[in-house]
Amino acid sequence: MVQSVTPRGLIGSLALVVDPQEREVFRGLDSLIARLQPAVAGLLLDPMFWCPDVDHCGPVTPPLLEHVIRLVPATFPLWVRITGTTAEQTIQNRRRLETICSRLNYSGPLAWVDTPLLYHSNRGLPEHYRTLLAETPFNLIADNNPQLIGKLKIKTKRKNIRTAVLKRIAEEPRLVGLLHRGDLRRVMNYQRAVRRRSDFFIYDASERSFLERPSASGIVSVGANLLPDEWRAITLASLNLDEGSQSQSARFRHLWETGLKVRTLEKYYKNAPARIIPAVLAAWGLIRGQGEPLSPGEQKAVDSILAHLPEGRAGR
Amino acid sequence: MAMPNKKNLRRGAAKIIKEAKDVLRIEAEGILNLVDRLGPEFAEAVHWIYKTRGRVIVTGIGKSGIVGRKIVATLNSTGTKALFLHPVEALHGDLGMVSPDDIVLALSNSGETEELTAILPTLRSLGTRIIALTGNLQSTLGRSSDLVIDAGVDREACPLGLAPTASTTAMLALGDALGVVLLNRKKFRPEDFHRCHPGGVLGERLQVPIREIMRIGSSVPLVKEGTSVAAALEEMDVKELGATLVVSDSARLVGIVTDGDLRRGLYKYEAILRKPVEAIMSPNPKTVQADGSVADALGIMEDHEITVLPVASGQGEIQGILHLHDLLGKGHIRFEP
Repeated sequence: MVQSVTPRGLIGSLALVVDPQEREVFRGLDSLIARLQPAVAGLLLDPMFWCPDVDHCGPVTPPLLEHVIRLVPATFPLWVRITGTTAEQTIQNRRRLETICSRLNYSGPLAWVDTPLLYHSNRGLPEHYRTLLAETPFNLIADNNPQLIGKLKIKTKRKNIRTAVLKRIAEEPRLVGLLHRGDLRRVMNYQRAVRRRSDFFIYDASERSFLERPSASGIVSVGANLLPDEWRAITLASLNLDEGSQSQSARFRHLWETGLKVRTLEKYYKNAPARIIPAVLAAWGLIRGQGEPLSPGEQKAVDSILAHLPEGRAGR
Repeated sequence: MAMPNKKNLRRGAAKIIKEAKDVLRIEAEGILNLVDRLGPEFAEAVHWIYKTRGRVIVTGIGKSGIVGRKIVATLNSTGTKALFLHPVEALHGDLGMVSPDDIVLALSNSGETEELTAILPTLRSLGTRIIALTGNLQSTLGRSSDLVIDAGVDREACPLGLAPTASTTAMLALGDALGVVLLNRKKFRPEDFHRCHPGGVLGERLQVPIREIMRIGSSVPLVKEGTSVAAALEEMDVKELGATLVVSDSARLVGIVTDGDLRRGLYKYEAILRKPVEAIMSPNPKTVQADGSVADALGIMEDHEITVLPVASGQGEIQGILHLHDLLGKGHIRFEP
């Protein structure tokens, strides 16, 4: 029986930094998981985000999934990117990864993550998701990511999942959540569309949005790779999950200072998080070797973060 | 320092208004969310509270505690007996106020507030039913309660959890819904509301002019100078005010005889009944003018510790009389709600 827990709170998007020589090897994976896992409610494996070239990024590979499953406790929530370049390929990706789960006899709280508009239009999406979910025991989380779709070489008519379409695909009970980046009006429309589903979660996938108007479901954070404990504190506070634990004035002061630190760092890496965050992690010695060369602006951002958080501060 | 130009001011104002609108939208959505999620457990909660012989004990801490106090006020104003129990005080003895007939309404957005969850086992052992208002149905509070009402919202308007916004608004709205539905079930009438709000009614009454409530004509106890104490006593008995005014031949007020004056006279004179009233009356009594307000009369009565006050013109011509009970609407003159 598969566990179907949908976590609320901080979901860490694990920094997946590919070794340039060996495409299947991710640098520092074990130490990054060990650093991140205690602070988060779940881990997102999203090579597509961390890959520098969006048109050539793939989903999670079977070796990566196997490696992570062996590292984390069986009850720890994992979100796994399956998005391919077509509907068929996405379903195929899911099947390939499921064979790993079967082979490892894994039945943990795993959910597939997919950005459907990267390969599919709004039209026919409910039918596609019905097919996608028909054979799998795991839940699915849709990713509404207009920025990513905007970066595609092939331009699409729509960058966002239509509200009416979300309402229809949310009729499928194993679609349990949505990652959202974008404006407040749209997310409110989405909320209305899924209101009858009390078990449906809309997560902020934009750190800036969460820091201003936090979703009660939680946040998918890339910055948690840099400041796991700080992101955890902010998320728990934003979801009112730590009320009454200490004196209010001390708590507010701590939160305010933590919030300021997280915001400051987010400003530095927001333009190229997939390049800047790994460079900082490498400078801290958490991952081996050098990544791709950075632009002067990116290098300046890395230097600014390191000035705020020198090497000795990096360890948990 | 450079002054901001009009264009920048307009931009600044537009940004402020946009931010404020965002906050209001988030809070409004929070309540609308409850509309769709409100289920039979709410109706069950209303039924329990309506039927109970006990009271509603509302409890919560922090912002939930503040909301809880407002819910207590709403319930009491609308005819449902309620009181607030601070969870920390509960742990230090206030749990003694809870009886098995009471229903506890426990408020916590997270449902994991330590101070609140700490009192749940004792409440359960008392046999008190617990209704949870929480945003986390699977929380300790949710799991320990007999009924759970979903007060969850999708989003907060304030960052870092510094000030719960949509979640507290949602709880407050649910409390209002509870109060109003109970009010309708109890067939609560305007006069019941006035009974629960004596402060409000009294406040209105204090502004009423004295001429509208004073006793006039034959209901004013009155004797002339030279009248015997026996006759004055008869007048006091008939008019039932515990006092009679004493006037001169020209109908000017010269004194007042009260129950207190009689007591003192009995002590002083053996054959008091045959004495003239002047022997025992209090001369030159305090008066109030008919144009004054009830508040003025009440002030004089309080200052001089008296319960009967003559109403007279500036020249001492008697126009009426007031008893303290008339001011409170309990005596001869009653106020319509």
